[in-house]
Amino acid sequence: MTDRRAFLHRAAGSVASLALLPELARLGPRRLVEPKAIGLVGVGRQGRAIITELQKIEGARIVAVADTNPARLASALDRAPGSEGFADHRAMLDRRRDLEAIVVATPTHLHRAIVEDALSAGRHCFCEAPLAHTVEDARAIVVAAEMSNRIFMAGYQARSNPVYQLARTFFKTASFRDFVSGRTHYHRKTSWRFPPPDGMSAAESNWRLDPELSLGLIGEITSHQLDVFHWFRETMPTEALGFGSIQLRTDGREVADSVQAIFRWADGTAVQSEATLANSYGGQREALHGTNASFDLAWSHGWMFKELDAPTMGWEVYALRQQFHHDEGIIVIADATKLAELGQLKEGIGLPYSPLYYALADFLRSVTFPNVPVPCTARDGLASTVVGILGNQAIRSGTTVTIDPALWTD
Amino acid sequence: MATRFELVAHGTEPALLLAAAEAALEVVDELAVRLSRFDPSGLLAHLRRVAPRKVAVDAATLSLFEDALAIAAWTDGRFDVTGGVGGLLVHSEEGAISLESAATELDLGAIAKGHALDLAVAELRAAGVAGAFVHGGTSSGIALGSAVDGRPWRVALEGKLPAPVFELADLAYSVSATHRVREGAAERHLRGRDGEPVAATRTVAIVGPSGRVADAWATAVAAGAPRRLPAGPGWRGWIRDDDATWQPMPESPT
Repeated sequence: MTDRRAFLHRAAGSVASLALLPELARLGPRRLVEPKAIGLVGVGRQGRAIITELQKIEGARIVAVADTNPARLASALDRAPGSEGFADHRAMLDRRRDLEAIVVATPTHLHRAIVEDALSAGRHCFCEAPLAHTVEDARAIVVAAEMSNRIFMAGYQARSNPVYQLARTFFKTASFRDFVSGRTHYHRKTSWRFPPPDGMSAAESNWRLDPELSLGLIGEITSHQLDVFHWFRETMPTEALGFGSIQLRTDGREVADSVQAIFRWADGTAVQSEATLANSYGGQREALHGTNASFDLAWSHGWMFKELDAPTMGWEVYALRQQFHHDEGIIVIADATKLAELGQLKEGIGLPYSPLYYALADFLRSVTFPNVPVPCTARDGLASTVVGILGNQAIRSGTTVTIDPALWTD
Repeated sequence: MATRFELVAHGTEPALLLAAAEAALEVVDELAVRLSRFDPSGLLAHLRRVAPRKVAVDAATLSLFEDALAIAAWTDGRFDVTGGVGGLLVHSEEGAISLESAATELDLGAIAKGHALDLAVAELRAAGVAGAFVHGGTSSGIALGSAVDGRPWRVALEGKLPAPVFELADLAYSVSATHRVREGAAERHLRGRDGEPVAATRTVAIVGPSGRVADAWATAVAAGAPRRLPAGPGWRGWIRDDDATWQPMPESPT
């Protein structure tokens, strides 16, 4: 027998499922229908994280790793048992004919040549974001990707994140309504220096602190957060202004450890961005404010805060909520309908895998099924990379910089 | 691991030391997620989700699970990361691990801290740091090289004199204690804050070349495993029952 509450619960679930349908079954472990041989180029910190995530995707076989530094390469071979090591990515492409896909995780300024080589060698390619440290290189990557008949995906991970995908479905409805403003926040107390492995200079290891190679905090970090706005809104900012300073890391560096910037859209709205290496409060998150609701998105978690005069949706009665001082947030849970049916809604809070895992899994899905589009195309990646590059220019020059859409549309 | 990790290091380049220390503590942070019983994005949760399928792991993680099974055998099951529920399978040749079923409850609480210390110190060493001391919650730690005065790092056990003072250089230590509690009609031993403590019954301190073996071994002996040291060179240990004085532990028969 179905009691009234259970009936309402199911009814509410069915209403919610209309909105959540695209997210169903996206949370759990991914399994490739056929094994894929993957090569990884660049096995520093991010490369190591990529190995860890690929190992959780059944059928993803890391068969080769390449790095110019022998110590890093040896460490990567320990992390990816059974893989073959190469000091040069070109040798890897030549000798491992079984490779189907390449993941590029080198420093940003080295991406272009590797992506071009991989695509021209007929391999599918996932490239970490930002795509490049110059507009010219980023555009060259897009040309290479679009001239090839291979899959190319840019590594702006939010587009593969189930929490963000669900938030975006609400963003597109009356639940959020019209965009008012936004904010990106990145606080992490760290030197942003990395000890060089044997055989590498400190300067080479710390390319993020080289003003000629680094896009600074705005380009390297915030561009991932700004991409959320580009993806949600499907429009791009038209100008950037900002400033940076060294608040804590007085160790001779020139790249600012604290930056603030404003990205303005043609409709008069703006996103304020703040990033610092001098304080850790709040971590990494994006806030999107609409006329009916706001989102607070924190990569593995997300909350929706409704305005008092916003229309009520039936499923909200059963949503999980969390109090933040005077505001009450509805917890954004992907697969909520399915979890509610199983009585496991609370277990759905947060992601069971990292955003990187979902991005890599999406890439391999498109490699397997080429008619399934990647969530972040080369041109999507170019647009957000360009915004990061120009945002960094605005901060370094102290001037307002115009963001010309021709840089990614032409 | 729900534990505060701290480290001190000495050297001539402060910027390099800071970077190395951050890298070492980042390794600890990564492992706290990866080896957590509770974090849904960790390795243990993934193993349960895909059980009984095999999951490829890095060499360090494979060694951790190999050691866990070996220590379970050496300690007559007093140390068992499965808690006796379900099975853990280590496929060394394939570099993979698996669980018999999703019901297997892995708890690495008594070995993960030592493992994290081992890897944190490896990170420091790779960064060129010659002298450092890292601890997790003070009960486990590793000395890398010597202290700034060129002498070994010194760690004193609390308790009635004469309490042992470890002199450590490139050595790990771990201290574990059990407390007696009543649970229904049966009495069982629980470790530290895992249960409501009534009275300390046994405290064990182990010093040796591996943080994770020291961590697991101290727990196992405190929980009733035979009073002997891990096999191999470089191991020392002390044991104290109730409020008695510390007694050295004998070596394992070879």
